[in-house]
Amino acid sequence: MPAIDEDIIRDLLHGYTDHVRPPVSIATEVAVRQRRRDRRRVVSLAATGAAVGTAAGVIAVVPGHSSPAPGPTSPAIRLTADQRVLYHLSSAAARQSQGRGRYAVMRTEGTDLKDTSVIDSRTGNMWSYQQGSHGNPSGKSFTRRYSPNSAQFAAMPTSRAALRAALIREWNSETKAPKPKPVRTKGPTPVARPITVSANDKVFQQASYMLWYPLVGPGLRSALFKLLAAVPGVTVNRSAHDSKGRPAVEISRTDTSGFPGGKSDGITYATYENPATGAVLESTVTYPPGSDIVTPQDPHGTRTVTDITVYLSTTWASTVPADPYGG
Amino acid sequence: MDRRQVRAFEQFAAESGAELLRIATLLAPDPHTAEDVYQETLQRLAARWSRVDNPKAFCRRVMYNIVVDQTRARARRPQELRLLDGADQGDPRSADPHHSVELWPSLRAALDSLTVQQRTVLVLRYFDDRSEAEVASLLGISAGAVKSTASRATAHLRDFPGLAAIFTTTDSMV
Repeated sequence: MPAIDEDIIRDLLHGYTDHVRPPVSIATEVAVRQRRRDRRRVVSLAATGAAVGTAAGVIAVVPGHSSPAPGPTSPAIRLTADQRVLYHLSSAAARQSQGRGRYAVMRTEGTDLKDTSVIDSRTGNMWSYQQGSHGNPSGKSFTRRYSPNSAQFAAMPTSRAALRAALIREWNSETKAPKPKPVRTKGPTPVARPITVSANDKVFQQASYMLWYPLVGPGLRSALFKLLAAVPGVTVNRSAHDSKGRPAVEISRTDTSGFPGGKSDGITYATYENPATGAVLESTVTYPPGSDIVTPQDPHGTRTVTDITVYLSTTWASTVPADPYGG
Repeated sequence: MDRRQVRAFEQFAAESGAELLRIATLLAPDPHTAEDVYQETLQRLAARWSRVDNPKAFCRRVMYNIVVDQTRARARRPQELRLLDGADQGDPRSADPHHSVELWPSLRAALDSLTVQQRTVLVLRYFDDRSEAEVASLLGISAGAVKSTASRATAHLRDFPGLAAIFTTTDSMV
């Protein structure tokens, strides 16, 4: 092909798109949505390995019937009022029955989004239907193996120490980022101060992620409440209400780390539970000013931002329902 | 995504967003679909941000996959009326004869008449200035296939009504 043709095509393609500029808000909105999805992310398939490893450990211990060594957060012998509330929720969760049907259908409402998620209990695959609003388009997505399946969740440890270790391992594996490539520069090499996250922060974040997830069975949910009762810094409000006005037990905790040098980033995670069943009604994450979280309305991150996810209903079905928003 | 990743992601989008949306505009049939493709691409990138070594290459591959999927989905649906015809008239400020607004409907129609693979090869080779080897790697085809596809696509554009005049005029000037 003559080179001149290539040049004409180059000119045409560039000229045709010269005026194209993406709205600045798109990238920010995508990042906001991703943060919300991350927050709802549950223990991934790596947990399967963790559970197997833990089970092997249990088998090694059982012959001697030795008591496991007390963990760093052994339960207080005398329970505080907050811990008693969490133990009550643990009992309530244990009394619930696991839903019947292959597919969990969960309706949620976010700050600016309505979602219906369909999760296959056998494979962990997820279909997500999103209702457009506030400038967000309607859409649907499919994620293969979004999470462990019901059987894999059922195989997870429920003893406090083993569950705590599994959640920390999972947090570490999920947030593992590739090391940046070294850049050769003149002069002294700047030393980046690593962001450290405390073990208790990891446990609370992971446990609160898992509480809302429909494939997590009553036994594991019950264990998660007991685990939260042993995490320092957890606050329990027995007479709270969620944003829909439903009576709730509010379980919250502010990160004790997250900034370089182990300084607290001030981010507060909260989950609101139905007092009678232990089911999650709502979860929130509150980012204080200066936590580097920006939104389209606050591009410099100078305000307090609260991401809210309201759990409207969870039902079970034997087939994958159609897109309820007609997409 | 932690805050460092959010910052890096937004920086990437600020630096590369215009280029990505321009590629999406050339690959998709209309500006609205292009913006959807761009947004979906960023969403997929955000979901895998910590695991993607080369975000630009990842975005190009994702855009191609999305456009292929959309084309197949459209092919399965009954033919729809093109309500947006004439909506993308380009930049009326340009006075360059190659950039004349009269050309844009013809160019759009010509691009739409190519196969998705031909269109993508054309865009990656001549808009994005990728080498044949890079395009081959991105699309998972051989370098020879890239060369022949580009050649066929160019010949198609040369003969396309409304565009042929540009090539002919230039030929006569050479």
